[in-house]
This record gives sequence, structure tokens and C-alpha cells, in this order.
Amino acid sequence: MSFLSGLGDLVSNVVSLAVTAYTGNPMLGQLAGGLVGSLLGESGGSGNAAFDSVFNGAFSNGFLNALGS
Amino acid sequence: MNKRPAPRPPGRDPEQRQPQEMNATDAAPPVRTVEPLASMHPAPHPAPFDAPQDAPAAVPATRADLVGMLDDLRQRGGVDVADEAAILREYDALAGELRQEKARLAAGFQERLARDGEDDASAWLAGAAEALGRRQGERMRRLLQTIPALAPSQS
Repeated sequence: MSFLSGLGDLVSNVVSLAVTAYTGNPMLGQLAGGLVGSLLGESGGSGNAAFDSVFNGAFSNGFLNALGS
Repeated sequence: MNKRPAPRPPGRDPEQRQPQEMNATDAAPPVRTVEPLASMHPAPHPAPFDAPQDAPAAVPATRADLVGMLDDLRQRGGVDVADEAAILREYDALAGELRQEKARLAAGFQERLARDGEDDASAWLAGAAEALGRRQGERMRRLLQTIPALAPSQS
């Protein structure tokens, strides 16, 4: 899954930090980042870098908003 | 009286960290470009980021990585075996749905790209992908809320 080595890593770290900040629970933040990273990694790249970039950022944003709210 | 701050190595104080990191980033390769998420979610509290000290550094990129992370959380007392199984069941359902939805959105994106151009196609995709992420995050949140160690802190 080399697709995740760039943007995906970054995205899951941001999710982890943001959820930790919103909830005050580092364990939840860590798990949230892991869930997003794994979901995006397992879903694979589409072959279109523009699509992947928009999709990964927006999907992660929605996910962290739901978990952090 | 009991206001002893947690011991931190020098330079780990969040209030000192920012300028240091900015200097370091100036000198380092530009790896930290997080504009989309960071700009939409300015962190309300700068403090809690020293917690992952005892967390594994690797970011899960596969289901197997996630299983490893859950095992680690179990060893640290965050989840029990039943919680771990429930999280993985929900994860598997979400991953299946995500694959299907992503394929559908990729086809829609290509259509719109050809018909409406990149800006419109990207705006449509961003809205659809965020809604999907929110739906999936809410489903996972409902499950995680049932696990005491994963509940938001009372503040």
C-alpha cells in the first residue's frame, strides 16, 4: 500500500492530533488516526492523484468531525 | 499545593515548542503541509499533544496494522477482547462500504471532470467524500462511546 506512505500518513496523524485536542483523550485520538489510516490504506489508490488527494482530505475531515464532536 | 507539572524533557513544553519547531521546519525538508485539515480545524487547546509518548509511532495503513494497534491498546488497558472484536467488526463493515463508495465516487468524478472541469468536479467530490467520512465516523463513534477508556474526557 505505498499509496498511503505520503498523504495518508499525514492525514492520519492530523486526525489523531485533532481528535485528541477535541476530546482530551489521547487514546481515542490515536485510535481515530489508526482507523482513518487503515480505512484509506485498505481502500487503495484510485490511480488518479487529484481524486485521491481531494478524497483523502475530505473523508478524513468528515471522520474526525464526527469522532471529535 | 499539588500543582506539580508533569516532568517533560527540555523543549517539550507546548509553549516553547512552536518557535522551536518553526525554526526546525525552516531548515528541514518541507514535509508538513497539512493545509486542508489544519485550516478547517484550528486546534482549540494546544496542550494535550504530549500524550502519544508511550504510543506506537507507526501509523496503521492496513487492517493488520490496526489489529496491532488494538492489541497495544488492550495491553494498556484501553479495550478488552470483546471491544477489540466489536471495533474490528465495525471496521470491516466500514471498509467494505468505503471501497464501494470510493469506486462510485471515482466514476462520478471522471464524468464531472470531463463535463464540468476540475474545479467543479473537485468541489463535488469534496462534499461527497466529507459526507461519507462523517457518516462512517458517526457509526464508529456510536460504538466507541460504549467503551469507557475511549470516551471524551470530561472537561
